[in-house]
Amino acid sequence: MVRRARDPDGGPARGGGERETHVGVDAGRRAPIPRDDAPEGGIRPERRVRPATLAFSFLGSAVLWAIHFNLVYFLNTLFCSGGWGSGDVVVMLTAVPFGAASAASGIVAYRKWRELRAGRSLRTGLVEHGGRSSVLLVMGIAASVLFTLLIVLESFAPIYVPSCPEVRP
Amino acid sequence: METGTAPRFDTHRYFVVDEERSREFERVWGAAGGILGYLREINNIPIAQRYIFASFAFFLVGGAFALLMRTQLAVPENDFLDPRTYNQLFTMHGTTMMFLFVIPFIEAVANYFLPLMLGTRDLPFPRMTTLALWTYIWGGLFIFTSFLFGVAPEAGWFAYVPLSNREFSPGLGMDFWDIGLSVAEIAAMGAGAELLIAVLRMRAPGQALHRLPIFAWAMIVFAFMIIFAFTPLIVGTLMLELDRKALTSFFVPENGGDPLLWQHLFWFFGHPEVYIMFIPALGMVSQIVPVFARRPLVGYPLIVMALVAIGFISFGLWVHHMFATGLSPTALGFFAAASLLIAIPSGVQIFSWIATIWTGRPVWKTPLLFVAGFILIFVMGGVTGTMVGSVPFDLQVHDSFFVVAHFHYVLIGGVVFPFYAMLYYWLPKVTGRLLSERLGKWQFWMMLISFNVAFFPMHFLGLLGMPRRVYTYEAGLGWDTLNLVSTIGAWAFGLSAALIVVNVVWSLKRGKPAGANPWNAGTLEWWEPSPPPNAQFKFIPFVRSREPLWDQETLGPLPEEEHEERLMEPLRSAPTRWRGALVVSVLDARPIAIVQMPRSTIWPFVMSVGFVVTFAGLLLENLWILGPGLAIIGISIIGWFWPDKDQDAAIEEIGTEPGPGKLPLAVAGPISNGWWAMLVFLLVMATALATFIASYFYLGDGPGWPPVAPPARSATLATLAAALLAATTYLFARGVRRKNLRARRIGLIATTALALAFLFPAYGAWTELGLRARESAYASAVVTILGFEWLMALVMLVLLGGAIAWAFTKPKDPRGDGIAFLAELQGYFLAASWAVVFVILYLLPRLW
Repeated sequence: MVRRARDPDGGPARGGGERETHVGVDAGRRAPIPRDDAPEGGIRPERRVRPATLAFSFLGSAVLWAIHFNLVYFLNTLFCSGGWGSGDVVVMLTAVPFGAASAASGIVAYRKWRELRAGRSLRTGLVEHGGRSSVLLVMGIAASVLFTLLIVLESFAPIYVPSCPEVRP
Repeated sequence: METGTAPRFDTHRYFVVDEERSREFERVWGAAGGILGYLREINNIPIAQRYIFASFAFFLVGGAFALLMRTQLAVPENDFLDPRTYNQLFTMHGTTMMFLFVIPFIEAVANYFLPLMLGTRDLPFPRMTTLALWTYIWGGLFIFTSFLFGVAPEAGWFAYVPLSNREFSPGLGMDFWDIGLSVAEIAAMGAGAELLIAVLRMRAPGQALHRLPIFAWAMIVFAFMIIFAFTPLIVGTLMLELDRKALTSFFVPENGGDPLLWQHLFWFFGHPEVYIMFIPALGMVSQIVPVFARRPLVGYPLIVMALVAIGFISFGLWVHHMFATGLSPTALGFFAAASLLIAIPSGVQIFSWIATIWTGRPVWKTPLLFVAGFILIFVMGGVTGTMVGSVPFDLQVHDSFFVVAHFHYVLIGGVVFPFYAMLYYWLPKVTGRLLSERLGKWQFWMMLISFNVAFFPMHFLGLLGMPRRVYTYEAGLGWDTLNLVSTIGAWAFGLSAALIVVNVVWSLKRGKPAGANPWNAGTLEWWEPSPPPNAQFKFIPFVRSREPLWDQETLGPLPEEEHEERLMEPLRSAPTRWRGALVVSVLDARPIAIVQMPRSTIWPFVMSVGFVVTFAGLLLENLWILGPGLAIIGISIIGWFWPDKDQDAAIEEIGTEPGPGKLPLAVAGPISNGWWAMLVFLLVMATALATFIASYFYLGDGPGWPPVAPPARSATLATLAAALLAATTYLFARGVRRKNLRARRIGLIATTALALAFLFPAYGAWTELGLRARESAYASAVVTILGFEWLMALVMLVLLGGAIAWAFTKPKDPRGDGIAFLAELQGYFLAASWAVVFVILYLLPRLW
C-alpha cells in the first residue's frame, strides 16, 4: 500500500515533499540500488537478460520496420522503373518474414518479462515496479504490436492502389 | 519560503564537509569576471542562459515577421508589403522559427536542466556546448545580415529547386541561407551529440534506464533524430550550394539532375524535424503533469515506447509532403500508412497524461493550464494531421491555407504551449523567484483564445481555396472576413505571447523567492538551490527511484551502497585542484570512471569566429577572407587540444588504471567520453555517406547513367591501400593495448604512409573518369562521394599526427593512447566506407 502526500501549493521549500512510504515495508532507506546482475544484501536481484535478447526485444521490431519500409519502397521503385511488372506479390510477400520477425521480438519480450515478473515479489522493498530489464521489455512488447501492424498494413498497400504512376503520353 | 538553501538531506552524515575544501571546490568551478571571462565561460549554467536568451530573441523577431505578414493579408489587395518583401518575410519567418528558435531553445533548456536532472556536474563536453552557442549565434546573425545588404533569401524556408537555384534566385540571398543554415545546423548537431552522451554516460549512480526522467529519454530520441535528420539536410544544402556556384549539376535536369531529389533530401529532414521539436516538448509535459497532478506518471514504459516509436516512424513520413509530385500510388500508400499510424504512439501519450491528471489531485497552476491547452490544441492539429495524411484529401488541400492551419496547430499547440508550460515551471529554478500566477493565468487564457481566433479560420480559408504563400488576394472571393479575423487573432496572440517578458521582469523585481523546490517536484533538478550554482552537485546523489525527492529518505548512500560511496571518494566535495565528474555505465548507471572536465577557455569562441570568417569567405568567394578563417580554425584546434595543467593534476591524482576500491580516470578508449564522441562523429559521417549514395542511386535512373563502366585502375589501388590501412590500424591499436611501444610506433608510421598513399589513387579515381561535374549529374555524384573519402583520409591523417606526436614525445602518457584509439576508429571507418564506395561506384555499374 502506498501513501503519497505532495502539494505544490504548500509545504516547505526544501528538497522534496512528503516521502512516499510503503506501509509494512521498510521502504527506501533499506532498498539497495537494484541492478540486474549484482546480488545485494540478501535481496534477490532481477534475473539477468542477455544484452542481445534485450536489444532484440526492445528495438528489434522498430529496426525491422525501418528495414522493411525502405525495402518495399525500393522494390516498388525498382519494379516500376525497370518495367518488370508491378511487383505487387513480391511487396506483399515481404510481410511474411518481416512481420513474423517483428512479432517474434514481441513474443520474446513477453516471455522474458513473464520470467522476470515471477521474481518481482522479492523486490517489494523497491518503490518501483520491476527493474530495468522488465521496463524495457514492456516497452518492447508494445513496440512490437505497433510495428508489426505497420509492416502488415504497408505490405498490403498494393491491394488498394495501383503500384506504378500513370504514364501520360 | 527559504531561498537557495540546501535541502534537508544535508543533515545526513554523507554531506558533512570540510568548509575549506568546499570553498576551493566552488572556486575551481566558478566563473571568471570581465569581458574576457565572459567569452571564456564554458559552464553549462551561464552558457545555457545565453542560449535561452538568444533563441528567445530570435523567437520574438520571427513572431514579428509573422505579424507583418498577417497585417499584409488583413484586407484584400493590400499594399502594406511588396511581393518581394513578403516572400523574404515568410522565408525568414519559417527559417527563424524552425532553425533559430525551436531547436536551439530545446538544446538550451536541456543544457541547463539535463545535468541537474541527471545529478551530474556538467555536460561531457562543455567546450563543445560553448562552441555550439557561439556558432549558432554567428550563424543566425549571418543569415540576418542579408537584410542589411537587401538580399534576404526569398525562396521559402524549404528552398525548393529550381526556385532556389541561381537562375531564379540570383544574388547572394540563397547563399546566405545555405551557408548560415549549415553553420547553425552543425552547431545544433554538436549540441545534440553532447546531450546524447550526457544522458547515456553522465548520471547519478543508480539512475538506471528505467529511472530516467522522461525528459532525458526524450533527449536521447531527440539526439539520435538530429544525427539522422540534420545530416541529410547539410548534405542537401551542400549540393544546392555547389549547384549555385555552378560546380555541380545535382538538380539540373538537362544534365541528368533532378529537382525532386532536393525535395526528398529536404523532407527527409523536414518531417522528422517536426518531431525533433515535438518530442522534447512531450518530455517537458511528462515532467510537469505528475508534479501538478500530485502522482507519478501513468504508463511510464508506454510513454517511453511512444517516444522511441515516434522517433522511428517519423523517418517514414517525409513523402506525405510530396503526395502531389507524381510518385507511385503504392509508395504513397506506404507513407500514408505510416502517417496515420503515428497517431497511435501520439495518442498513447495523450491518454497517459489524461489518466495521470484524472487519477491524481490536480492543482491548476499556470504550467498545468498550458499543458491542458497543449493537449486541446495538439489533438485538433493531430486530427487535421490524419486528414492530410490521407492522399485524396491531401491532394484537395495541398498548398492551401488548410495546411498552414494544420501545422500551426501542431507546432504552436505541440511545441510553443509546452514551452510556455516549461517556462512557468522551470524559470523559478533559473531566476530563484516565482512568476506571477495571476499574470500567468491571464496570459494562458489570452493565448488560448487568440490562437484559435488566428488559426481556426485558416482551415476554412484553405477549404475555400485560398493558396498559401501569396502576398495578397482579390476581394469578393469569400476570404475577406476570415482573413481579417485571423489577423486580429494573430496580433492578440503575438501580444499575449510577449507577456512572458513582462512577467519575468515583474518576477525579477517583485517575485517571491522560489526556494529550492517551489512545486514539491520529485526530480533531481529541484534538489539544488535556485538559482543553481556553477559548482553544482558538490555531493553526488544516489538515486533509487524515478522521483527521488518524493520517494527517498536520503539522497546519500545506504549501507548497501557504501562500496560505491568509497569508489566515488575522490569526487566527494572534491577534487579541488581540477573539475571532476562521474562516468557511469549506460544501462545501470553504475560508477565506472572519473572524468576531468576542462576549465574556462577562449578557444571555443575563437573557433566560432574562425567558422564565421571562413563561411564569409566561401560566400564571397574571396580567398583573402577564407585563408585567415581557416588559419583561425587551425590555431584554435591546436589551442583546444593542447594539454593543460588540470589534466596533469588529474592523471597524477587518480591514475588511469582501475584498482580495488578505486575508479580510474577516463582518458582513453571506450571508458572515455571522447571515444564515444568519435562514435557519434562516425555515425554522422556514415549518415552523410549514405545520403550521397542514396542521391547517386536516385539520380541513377536518369538518361545515360552511368555513361560507361568507369575505369577502375586507380580505385583498385585505393582499395588495396585501404585494406592495408585497416591491417596496420589493427597493429598499432594492439600495440597501444599491449603497451608495446615498438609495434605502436611502427604501426602508426605505416598507417600514416598508407593514408597518404590512399589520397593519390583516390584522386586518380576521379581524374580517370574524365568528366566535368558541372556538366553531368553522374559526375557530380561521383566527385562528392570521392571527395568525402578524401576528407575522411585527411581526418585520419590529423588524428595520426596527434597519435605519433604523443608516441614519440610522451609514450607513457595515457592521452596519447586516447588519440590513438580515436585514430583506430577512424581507420576502420575509412577502410569500410571506401569498400562500400568501391563496390557501388566501380563494381555495380559493370553488372548493370
